[in-house]
Amino acid sequence: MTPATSEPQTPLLAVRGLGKQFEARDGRKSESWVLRDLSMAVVDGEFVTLVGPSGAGKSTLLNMIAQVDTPSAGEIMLRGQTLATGEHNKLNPGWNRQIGYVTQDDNLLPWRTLIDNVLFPFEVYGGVDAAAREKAEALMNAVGLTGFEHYHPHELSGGMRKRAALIRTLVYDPPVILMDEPFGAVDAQTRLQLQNDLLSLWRLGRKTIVFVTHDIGEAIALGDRVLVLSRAPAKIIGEHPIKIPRPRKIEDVFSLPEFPTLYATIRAQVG
Amino acid sequence: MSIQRIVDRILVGVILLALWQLTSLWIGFYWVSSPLQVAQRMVAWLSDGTLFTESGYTIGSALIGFTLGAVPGAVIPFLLRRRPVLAAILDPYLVAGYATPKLALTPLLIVWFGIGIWSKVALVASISFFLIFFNTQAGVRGISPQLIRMAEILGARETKVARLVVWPAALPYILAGVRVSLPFSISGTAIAEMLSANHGLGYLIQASAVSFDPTGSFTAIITLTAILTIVNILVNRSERRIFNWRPAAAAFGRPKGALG
Amino acid sequence: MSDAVMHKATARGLFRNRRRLVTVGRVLFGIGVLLIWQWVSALTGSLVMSPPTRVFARIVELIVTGGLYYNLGVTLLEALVGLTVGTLLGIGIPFLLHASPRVTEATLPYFRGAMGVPKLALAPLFMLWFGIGLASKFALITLIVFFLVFEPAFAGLHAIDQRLVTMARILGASHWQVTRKIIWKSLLPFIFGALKSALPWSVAAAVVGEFISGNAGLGFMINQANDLMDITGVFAGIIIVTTLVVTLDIALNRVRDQALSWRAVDSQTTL
Repeated sequence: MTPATSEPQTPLLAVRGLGKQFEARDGRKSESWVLRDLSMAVVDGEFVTLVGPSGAGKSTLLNMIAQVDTPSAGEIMLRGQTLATGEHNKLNPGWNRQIGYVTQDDNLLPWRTLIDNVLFPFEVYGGVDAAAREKAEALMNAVGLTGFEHYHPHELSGGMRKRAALIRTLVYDPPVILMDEPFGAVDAQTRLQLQNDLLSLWRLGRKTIVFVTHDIGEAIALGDRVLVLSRAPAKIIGEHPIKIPRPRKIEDVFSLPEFPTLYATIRAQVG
Repeated sequence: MSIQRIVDRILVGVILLALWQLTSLWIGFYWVSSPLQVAQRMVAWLSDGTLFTESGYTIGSALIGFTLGAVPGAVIPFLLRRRPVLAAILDPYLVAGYATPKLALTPLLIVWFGIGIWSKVALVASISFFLIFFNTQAGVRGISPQLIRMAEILGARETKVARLVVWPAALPYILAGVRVSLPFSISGTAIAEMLSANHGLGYLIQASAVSFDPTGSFTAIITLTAILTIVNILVNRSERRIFNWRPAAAAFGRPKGALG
Repeated sequence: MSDAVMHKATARGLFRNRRRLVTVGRVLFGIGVLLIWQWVSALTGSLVMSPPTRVFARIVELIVTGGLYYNLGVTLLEALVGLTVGTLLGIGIPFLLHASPRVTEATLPYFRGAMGVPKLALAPLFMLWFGIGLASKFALITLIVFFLVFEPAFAGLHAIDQRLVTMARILGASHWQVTRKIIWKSLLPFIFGALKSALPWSVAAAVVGEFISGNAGLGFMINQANDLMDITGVFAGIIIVTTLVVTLDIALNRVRDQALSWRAVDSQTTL
């Protein structure tokens, strides 16, 4: 059931020749590119994972796709429509809710209860109705947050907050979801649980996901395809289709016979 | 609390009152009054309503002035949030206004607005505007850009961001401004009343002092202190009720350098 | 690549333009305020509002003829004497209290209670007791400064890192050395924090004291002008008082930055 890697299907999300150059503090142009000539494509319903060394511009790439940062060169397209180019870049965060973004920090609003945080996307756009509530409750139930609806974020563990941040994005169904190391900074046990939760949620909805991580094991276990980013200036230097059948259980993936070879190949590329 | 501690505290209080009483016997009631006289006067002024009337003038002027200053002080930083150039242009002028010792304006305000409540209202408005403005601005600027970005990605437009993200985030700062400026509005009114007025607690303090009636001054000062204490308690309590969402230990910083 | 360079160039241009815009805007706004002031004073007549030209001429006149210096000197003297004595007491008494927990416990509620009294409201009584000269202002300002310094000094003394004290003792420091090198150093930031608000208060209290009754000082000068319906003089006096407060504040910042140069830059303590 895994979507093939190089099908001649029009990609849902395409990035072409993308580049990012930061400005030095004095306003002068710095010659260093964080990211250069980066191209990639993601088809509908695909789960793509991106690995790379830290500081490789992974977050910068997602920020540009999410329309919260401007590219210096190249273009980003969604369903064949251009969202941003190096020349034209008026930011439109999330592109009218077409692109969801789960960041490293949970960014929950500290003054809202958990359920109000999950309902927040409806409150800012459209409105909260019975259907929205039902959906929010179903998702909270799916990740084991039932019973904690009326707690404030500071009263909950890191793992619970991560789950809430995740379903806050899933709840409004954006066609593309970007995830930037969403499970960093939690302990190994919780991390495993969160990864399994994500996989089971994904199986229900089949969203298109671009998942950034520096953990190669995580990239293999979650993705249909692993893309490897080079050191800055970052570009794609490797592509690895993952043929492990779904549904997967993360802990089982690690003990599959093909896992060590895959891991070693990618590891060598990441450098 | 141990019994010794309570006894110690009561003892200190009794000593202080005794010292006051003795001083008045020694130097004369005309100069320092005495605890007994103040207590008698308190009862007299409470029963004839003097304290209620005069407190009413002071509190009334303070509340009107506070409202006239605090509302624009809290609203303008929101309007300036998306207008950084305008904010930068106005900034030095606002800082200058903040630095001006507002109490020194009193003579001018009396020329403009007369010796009635409106000169006090104007003074208090100028005090509370700058205190609330800079507190609110600190809150609006201090909000995490990630939270705003997140809200925008989730589809929020400017009005929703302002109402659902910036406002709740800035509220603790605004209330911190209220905690400082509301009591200051009341004492500021009283000080302006001392300079020129024909009503209010400040007037009572000054008029009693110049007619060699320190008993009257003390009674009015104690009343003023009691009002300030009650206001402080009320503000703190409502603050705690509004912010039940945050962890108990979290403290919200206020910009330093409180130039009244 | 060329489009990226273009983008950078325009961004830099915008940045430079924005700074220029702010500078021009500030100048224009200032001119606008002065013009409106001039215009309003022409409308209302000089008994209500004095035009800026005349106010500045008066300030220059006061400086050139020397009419300012006596009154400025009196106010400055009142403020600085009150500030010095009040600060010394405000630091000294917490140190004394520190020696006896029992005395601290017994007296603290009274200190706290006295803190709630609006000290400036005592001004009329101080005039009654100490006369209209310098003594009443010294007493009033000392009292105000004392309470502004007492609380932070007391808190600071209790917040001292006991590990540092123990460390110094182990290294063989005497009691006096510990007091001077550790306790005093740790206390300084608290004291400067207190002075930051005590300083403007001391000037404001001097001026208010002189308003209520006095025979010299800037407050007296303003009052006198007011009695003569000389609005120009009132305006000039207020501007001079403000300048004095701002100058003293800048001077204090300088001293603090020198004394606390070992600290990490504290962005909060700038006005």
